[in-house]
Amino acid sequence: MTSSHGSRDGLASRARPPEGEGGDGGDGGEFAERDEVPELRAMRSVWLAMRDEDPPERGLAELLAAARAKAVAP
Amino acid sequence: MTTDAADEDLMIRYQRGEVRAFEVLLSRHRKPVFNFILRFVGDKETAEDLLQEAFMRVIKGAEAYKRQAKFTTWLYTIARNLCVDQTRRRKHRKHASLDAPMDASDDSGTLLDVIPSNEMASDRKSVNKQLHETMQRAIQALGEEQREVFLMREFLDMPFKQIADVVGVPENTVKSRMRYALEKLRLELDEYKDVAKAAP
Repeated sequence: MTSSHGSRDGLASRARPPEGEGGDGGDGGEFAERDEVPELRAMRSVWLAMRDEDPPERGLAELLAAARAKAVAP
Repeated sequence: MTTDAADEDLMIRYQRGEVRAFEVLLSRHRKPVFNFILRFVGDKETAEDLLQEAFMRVIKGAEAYKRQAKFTTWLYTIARNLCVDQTRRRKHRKHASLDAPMDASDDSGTLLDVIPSNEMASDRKSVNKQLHETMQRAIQALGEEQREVFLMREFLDMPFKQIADVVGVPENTVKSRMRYALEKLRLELDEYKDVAKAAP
């Protein structure tokens, strides 16, 4: 998976499989060990429920213009 | 162009002059990068400025990108470095902590003040709102090194190895910082956790 993080619109962690289903991201036992602590699982539910904010529209046109200019004259 | 193309392929296409490839990258990553920055610096206006600067640097540095590098590692290294520079610039300002004023410029109280009692937490919606506000403040109260690791791991689901690449420290150091971050958050949220559980 080459476009993992942002491509899921900040929802990557929300899509994490439940504990016990390989949700440690391939980092070995340490992260899984953390997940086995019930109170940490409860804590995680708090931040995973935090709402992502939309970025502002301002600046978008400027970025695209800069990208076009760069592509034309690299 | 398919919008499910790999980030790295899109970046190479942009290097070759395909502006549409950059547009896909922008639409894919602008929001998560914005939320990473926002949670890092804790200020919306600053986050907006840094978001803009991050993608400007992607554009300006596009030809330096190498296919071997994971695009998100490169992108979040840029974003993270901007956040670090920003926080260092304002380092004279008092760090947020549980027993320090939440905003040095006013008398808004401390994090402990916004953690409500059982009596105040009268319904689930209210509890959730307060819990999220408390969580945001708790994230801000983390040390910078712990905060960046926590945000990348928990909100971006980055493997520890990739976080290590972004931050530029050994993987074991990243794991250690994550442990400290979780322990600090556990302590800061501990009292509120019981309130949330008790809410209807």
